[in-house]
Amino acid sequence: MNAALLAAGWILALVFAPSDAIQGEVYRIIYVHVPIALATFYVTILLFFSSVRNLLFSSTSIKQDNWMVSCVEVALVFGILLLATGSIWGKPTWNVWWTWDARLTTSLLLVLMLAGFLVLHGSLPSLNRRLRACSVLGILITLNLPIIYQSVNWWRTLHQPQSLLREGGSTMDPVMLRVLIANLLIILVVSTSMVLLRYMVRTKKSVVYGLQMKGMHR
Amino acid sequence: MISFQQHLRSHFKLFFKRPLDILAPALFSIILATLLNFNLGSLEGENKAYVLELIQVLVIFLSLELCLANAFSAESEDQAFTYLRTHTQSVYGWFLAKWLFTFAQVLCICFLANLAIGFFSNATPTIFRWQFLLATLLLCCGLGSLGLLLRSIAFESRLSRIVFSLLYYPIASPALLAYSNITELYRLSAFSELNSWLSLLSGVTLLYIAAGCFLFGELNRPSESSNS
Repeated sequence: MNAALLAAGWILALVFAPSDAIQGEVYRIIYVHVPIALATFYVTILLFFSSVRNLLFSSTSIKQDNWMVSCVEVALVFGILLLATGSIWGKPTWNVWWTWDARLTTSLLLVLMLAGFLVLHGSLPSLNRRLRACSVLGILITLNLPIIYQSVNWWRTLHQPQSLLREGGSTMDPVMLRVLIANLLIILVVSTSMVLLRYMVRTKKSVVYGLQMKGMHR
Repeated sequence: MISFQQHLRSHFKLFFKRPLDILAPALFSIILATLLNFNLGSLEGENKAYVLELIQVLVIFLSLELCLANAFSAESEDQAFTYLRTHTQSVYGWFLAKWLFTFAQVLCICFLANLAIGFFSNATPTIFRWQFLLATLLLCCGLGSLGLLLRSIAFESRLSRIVFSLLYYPIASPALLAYSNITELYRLSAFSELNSWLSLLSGVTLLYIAAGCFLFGELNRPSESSNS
């Protein structure tokens, strides 16, 4: 279903959306890049709520642990894709694959933090301690999201300012805007289902691991 | 119940018991600053001020790094960390005492190193000017708090050194960006824009301290399983 939804979104982007007056066809990567950015933020926000819940209710359940890691894994994949698509777009428009621009740098930092989360998670043996430490870290990581979002306003950057949520409304062509919104909605569904799928896989894995451990102790 | 005062007293006892923890990094910073100052002979005016600023920032980060590296050295001996976590105590007091202690250590090292910088370069280091001093104090407060929180997160990790380095600077990036902009604007004498960055740094510092206080408590509160 995810593949079908993504394919539908890409058909809309490639066939129905008009060409850009300045960038020509290159701009069409916006229909991949911006939704991926939204998905990265969205899944990181899911991590935040999960972290707050764990700390508030002193959770010690393996399910919560699995849910948090699933969110981080999916956010990390989207984060890497975000940097990759940004680079692909940057080359023809800015003539560089990478520049130490505020938005790019803060996005890279987010990816590093998510990778750090996974390293920490893998290196803590006790579930109780792991849940607490990772929940605290989940909150700290999410605190950086507003800075990434505002980076294009706070610093004079090469990255363009917000196209959708800006004062006086979006300046995009209505057809382009509709196609972009459709792709944004599709990626929200796809990212949610990816987190759920990863969570189910992890849960099954932990059940199998539990059975193996029981078998070893018999 | 171990109170804040008891925690603070025990930390400062440690301060006098192990003076090398302060003296060694301070001496190292002084030597580093002195060596770099010898190269400043041919530099004049703005360039000299710029290099001096760089040395000061380097000293701040070095002292923070060294103080944070030893922040839990006392607790790591004799399983004291595990014991403290299962003991009835004020976790906020524990954090605040540790934070104040780290802050005092960093200030001592920075003060000694900057005196040496001033003495050898025959100039007043920018750190002694109030806006720069305020920004530096805010940075040390914020990064000290965040560093302690991350140290305690990574404490029981098998890869604690990697985890800490991987997380500390990315998470601290808002404070670092604000501080680097403040130093740049200060150098360019653009004081009108300085206040907005100082406000951001103050906000981020408050956030780190609040996060440190509340999350350190959550992280190290006595668990039911450990008590039973």
